[in-house]
Amino acid sequence: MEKNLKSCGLLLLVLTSGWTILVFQFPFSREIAVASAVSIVILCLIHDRYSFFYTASVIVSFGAYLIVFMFRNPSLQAWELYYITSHLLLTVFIVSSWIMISYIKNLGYETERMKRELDNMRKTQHGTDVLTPAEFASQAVYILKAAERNRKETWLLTIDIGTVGKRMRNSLLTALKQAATETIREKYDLVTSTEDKIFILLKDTDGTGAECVLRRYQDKMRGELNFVNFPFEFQKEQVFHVQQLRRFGEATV
Amino acid sequence: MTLLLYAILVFFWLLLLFYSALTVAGLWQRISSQAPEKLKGDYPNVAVLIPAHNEGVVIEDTLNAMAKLRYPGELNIYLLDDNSKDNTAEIAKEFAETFSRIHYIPVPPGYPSGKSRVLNYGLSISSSKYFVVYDADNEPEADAVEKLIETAEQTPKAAGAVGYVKTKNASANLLTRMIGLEFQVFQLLMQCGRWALFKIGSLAGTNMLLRRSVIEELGGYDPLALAEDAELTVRLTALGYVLPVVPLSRTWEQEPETMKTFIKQRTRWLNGNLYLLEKSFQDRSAWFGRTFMLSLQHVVTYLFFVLLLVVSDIFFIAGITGIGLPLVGAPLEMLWFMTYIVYVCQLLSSLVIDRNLTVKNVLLVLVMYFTYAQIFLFLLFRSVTMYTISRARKKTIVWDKTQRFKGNVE
Repeated sequence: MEKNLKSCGLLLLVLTSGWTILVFQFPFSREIAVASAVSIVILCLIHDRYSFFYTASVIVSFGAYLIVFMFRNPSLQAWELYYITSHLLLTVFIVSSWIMISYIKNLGYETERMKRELDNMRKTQHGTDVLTPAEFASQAVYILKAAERNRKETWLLTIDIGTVGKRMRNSLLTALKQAATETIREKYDLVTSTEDKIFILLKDTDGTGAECVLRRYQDKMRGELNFVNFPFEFQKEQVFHVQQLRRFGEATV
Repeated sequence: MTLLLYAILVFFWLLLLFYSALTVAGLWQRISSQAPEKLKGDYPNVAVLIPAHNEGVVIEDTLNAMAKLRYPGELNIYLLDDNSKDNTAEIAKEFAETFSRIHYIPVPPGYPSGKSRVLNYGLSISSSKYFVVYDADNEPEADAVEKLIETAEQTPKAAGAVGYVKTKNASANLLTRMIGLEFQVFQLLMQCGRWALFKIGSLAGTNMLLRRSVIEELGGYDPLALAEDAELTVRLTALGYVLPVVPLSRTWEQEPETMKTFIKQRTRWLNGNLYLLEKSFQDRSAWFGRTFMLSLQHVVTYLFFVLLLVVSDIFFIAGITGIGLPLVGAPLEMLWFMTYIVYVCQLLSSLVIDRNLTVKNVLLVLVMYFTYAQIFLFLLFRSVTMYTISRARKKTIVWDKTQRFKGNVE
């Protein structure tokens, strides 16, 4: 509520100063109007971190120009206050625009940050049992540590559909994820997916067990899809320790 | 008259441009500064010295922050109790009984009173390679000491390092907010700028690290110095040492919440700087080599700046009341207006770099010149009077402890 009030106040200040520049004919009012309009566009386009440098540069440059102008036209020095008012109008307009645009941009940055945090906090992908990449990576670390201590094997299956055309990819990924959750041991193995890959982490199994899961998975997919030879790649790899997982973690997160 | 006005104007603008250059360099330094690299070998042992006198209101928060300090080497924290009459000792002893690295040290009574004497005592009872000083109201961030050490160890000829001091009670009222803003730009940003341009840093009195060998070489703190940090800076700069500025090492400090406390604190600071100014006039070596910049800054700030502030006020009052300024062929009102604009830009830049750009802060920045900056005139008048009287009577100005406040933390 307070932020909304401030934004509205700033908007009113921008509009009022803009209106004053246009209506009252102070010295250089036409040039100031053009500079103000251009500044609004530039402030919208540049990154927030450069906005202040731009704002300060415009204000100080115009002030320096006015000082030189007054020195070169001593007869106008009796009208100094009018020129100061002109500068003040430009300053008010640009500073209030800068703060208002910063507010709006910060709202955008804040929303993005919160969305990222929300994604990190989410454990599963929308309405499925497929884990989010962050949750997968986090749980996998514990699984691998436990396997390392108990001298058990952990295997990672990767299904890469990056070679499939983009039009089909989304639907295919959904079908593959669904099949993966139905193939693995529920509440025991882990599944996650990125835009073009599915990762399955098989706990306490060996190469034969992993091969068995992979074959079962492929059989299941044959029932769903009209492929004799799948147009995507399957990979099977034993994960020995946590360090090795980092590579997969980076790919998933 | 015309010539005098021109001279004042030129000097005014030179000073303004110099401070603007410091601000820009400070911004550049802040933007480009990266975390110091981790040390490859062992971290040296460090003693944290906290002089305290009747700090019962804040000492619990301070020691809680000290207990949370993370440091890969040996770190001992000494609470140097300078004859407190409140519950400082009780709280400190409780922490000392719980944490092995926190030590409660009662300082024997002595003369002259003040921080310098207490720090000298702290140095005499500790034996580390480095020591860090924190005021008793400070709450350093967990990695503050580590970052200071890493920078000091990796900077050639470093006597230590200086960290960043932030205001923890900025939101308490308008005064603390303005003090916070003043700290951000005139002490921290320009401090970074001085380091970036001239490789000159100055001790801030708190969140500052020094090598024990350097302070021993200097013969310890000057117990008569009320601004012991500034005094020590001059001496160690004269010896060719440098003090790198580390913006990423942060401590949070409480600022005065009432005008009375503020005036007392700043009068002490100014008295300390006047003492230093007098010392520099008596000692010609203060005007040679690397100390030249520090001595010049003292003269400019405490003699010329105040004159320029008065002239600026005359221009402003003449301008708004319509009293004609002398016709000197220069746009005096426009020049005054632009000095105000540059001043505002300096303050705004600190808001941007410290990410506290709010409408409220911007409004404060706009009125700070007419309010907060003008207090400097009164403060300087007060401290010059006090200092002159005490010198005439051959008396020492006693250390005046800053009052602490409870609550109102951001």
